[in-house]
Amino acid sequence: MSKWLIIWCILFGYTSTYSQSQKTGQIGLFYDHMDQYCKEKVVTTDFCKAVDFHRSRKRDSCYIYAGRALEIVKNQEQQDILHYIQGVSAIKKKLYTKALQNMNSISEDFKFSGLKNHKLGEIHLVLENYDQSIQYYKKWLDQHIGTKDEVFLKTAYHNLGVSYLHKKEFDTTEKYFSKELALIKEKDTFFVIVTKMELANAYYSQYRDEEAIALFKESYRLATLFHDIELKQNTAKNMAVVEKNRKRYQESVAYYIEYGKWKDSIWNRDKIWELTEKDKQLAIAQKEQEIQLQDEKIKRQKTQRNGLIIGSSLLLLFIGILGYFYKLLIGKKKLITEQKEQLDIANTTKDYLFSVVSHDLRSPVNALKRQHEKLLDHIAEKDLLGIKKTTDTAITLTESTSHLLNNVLHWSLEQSEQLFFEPETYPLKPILEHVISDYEYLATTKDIILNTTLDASILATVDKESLKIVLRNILDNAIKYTKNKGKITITSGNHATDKCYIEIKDTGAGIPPEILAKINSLHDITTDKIDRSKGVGLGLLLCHTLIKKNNGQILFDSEPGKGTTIKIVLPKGID
Amino acid sequence: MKTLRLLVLEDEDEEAKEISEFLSDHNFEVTRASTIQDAERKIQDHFFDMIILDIMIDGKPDGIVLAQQINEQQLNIPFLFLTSTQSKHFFDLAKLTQPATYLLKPYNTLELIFSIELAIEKHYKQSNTLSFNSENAVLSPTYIFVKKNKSVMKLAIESIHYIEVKEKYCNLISKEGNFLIKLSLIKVKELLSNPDFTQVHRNFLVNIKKIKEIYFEDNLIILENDAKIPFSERYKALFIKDNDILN
Repeated sequence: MSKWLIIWCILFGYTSTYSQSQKTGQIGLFYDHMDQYCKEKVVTTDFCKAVDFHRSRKRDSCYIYAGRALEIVKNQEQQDILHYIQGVSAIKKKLYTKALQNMNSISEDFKFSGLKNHKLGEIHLVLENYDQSIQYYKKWLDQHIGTKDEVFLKTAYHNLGVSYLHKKEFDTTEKYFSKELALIKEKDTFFVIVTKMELANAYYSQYRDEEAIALFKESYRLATLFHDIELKQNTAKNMAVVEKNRKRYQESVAYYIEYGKWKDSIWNRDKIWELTEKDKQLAIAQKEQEIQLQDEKIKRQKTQRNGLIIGSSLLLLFIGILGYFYKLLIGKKKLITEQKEQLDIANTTKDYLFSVVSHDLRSPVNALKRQHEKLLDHIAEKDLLGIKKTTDTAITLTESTSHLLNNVLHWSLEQSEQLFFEPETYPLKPILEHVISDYEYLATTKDIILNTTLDASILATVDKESLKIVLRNILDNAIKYTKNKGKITITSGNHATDKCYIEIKDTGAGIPPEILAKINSLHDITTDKIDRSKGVGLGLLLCHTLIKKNNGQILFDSEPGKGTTIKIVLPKGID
Repeated sequence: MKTLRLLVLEDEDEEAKEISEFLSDHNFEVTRASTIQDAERKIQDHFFDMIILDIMIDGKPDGIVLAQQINEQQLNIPFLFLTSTQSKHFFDLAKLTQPATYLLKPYNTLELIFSIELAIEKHYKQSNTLSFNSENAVLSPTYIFVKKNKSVMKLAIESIHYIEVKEKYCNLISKEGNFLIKLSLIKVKELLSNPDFTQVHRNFLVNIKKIKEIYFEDNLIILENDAKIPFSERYKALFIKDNDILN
């Protein structure tokens, strides 16, 4: 049975402590040397990069850049440096065979052969070539007698001790460990514990159990006060083994339990770290998921927004179409209403015309018939005077009937918008003269004097035929209602700068005020409102309508018993 | 002075007779056509100053058809519608032929002559002249239409002595009298486009056939009627250039 189970073998990498000796020690010199190369820029960038990575302990990058630089660099010393730093990186990456190659490739003239030897010792120790390891370390020790570089010295002593331990040359082991222990300052608990443990191992291997147990215990006691869990674990394990060998199983078990506890806690630490990593990963995954969710949400919102926009625009379009159709409908409705109104007017006109025909036309035609019967009687009696009188009456009746018929015709044409209407500029005087000339005979038969004072310089813009209809109606009425030996005066002249007037004044019976008011309000009256029994006839209505259509005005003024004055105002024409 | 020659298209004999008699009484020379074919033949064979059309001939709107033919053949004869038709349909059709005027039956004689005056005015685009004042006349490239004893007559433009600017318009001096033409002198010159009428002053257009004497030194022209017309330097040069005999 193997008495010892543990070899506490720590490879003190100076890299863990080089910062302390950087400025003063060999390694510091080495760095300065390398920096010099980079500063002088006599080397490739890869060289400097490898150096930088070496210094910042980025082993992978350092290893790769050193490899690259090695292919380029031809200078022996530079090659040596690169081999060295690549070798160091290889050690850290646990590529010991490669490291060994690198170190062996370094030439004998290498300025820092001490560093090289130190490293070679380390490599050989790991590769369990203890004799070579001891050889290199001793070589180093020979090179650096009286060195102040404690870290290197300590490492060297320690590793020598370990090597001898493995070679079971315990005396030498003890010697080196003691040397190391002497170098370690009290404060450096870690090294104290480790070294004491190694020493204990050495004693234990020599079956100097008492000394060994004392040291084991001390290291265990120190470890319990120290923070390093691995040390606690190892010391506990050592104690467990030792107690077991002493057959103090109870204690051994207790130490084992403790060992297990520390192992657990290491495992826990690792686990915690792992868990934290996992947590981190989980958190990241969660975050990513959240981001994805957020993205999804945003996407959804976008879709929603798009949908909303499309929806609202569709709605607007729909409303627009609806509005359009509504407008169309309203338009149609309006049209229908307008048409209805027009139809109503046409209907009233028709009714009105029927009533005119039935009232105003029947009686004169009947009278005419009677006159003709009378005429037959007169012929039978050969009463020539009677014949003349009856014929005169018949002619008068025919004329007034014809006049009425013309009015009916014009009125119906006007109402159905069939009346030809084309205003043009005409001299006013000739038109008036032409109409008046038709009434000259009628006036003389009634001994009525027709006086005319007409301005020859006036041009009027009118529809000639409609103006004639109006003038005929007015003159007809004037002659009808003026007694024998009366007087009718017709005047025309300027009314304003852009207006002219025609005035027809008679000395007739005049119009009662209430009827006059009605006549004057005719310009805004329609057929359905005319009370035919009140004596307002078609003629005057026609006058109003046609003058209005000619953009003119017609005004009636009358004094019962003295006569009536009718004034027509029309737009003047421009020459 | 010459009388106007009128063609009347009227299917009703009674009315045709009435119109003819009345127009003849007022110094018009009237030819009557009772059908559209008759009217077409007469237009081809004779010269007319104006055509009076009834719209409905034997129940068809032949008056309008004839009016369309007159327009298509560019006969350049003024025509007017004399009708008892009051249907808007026919009026609209008639309006498309751009008649000088319309006269609705029943009409009186004064209205008929007035309508003839309106027709001449409108045809030669000199509105409100003849019908407005008896001193006015209407100028055509060959005749001057003037009012004479409640009638319209025409004067050959050769009888014009000279034309003088009067305000915006022109005064026309002839053996038969002076007439006002409602056109500017430039328009008159354009309308006549007759080499016999030469401008001698910015205000005067002279019928060179009527010149009796010319005094170049005194810048004076004396016409047959002894009228003294100033001769401006500017127009004198042109005048000499145009009349080789003087060189």
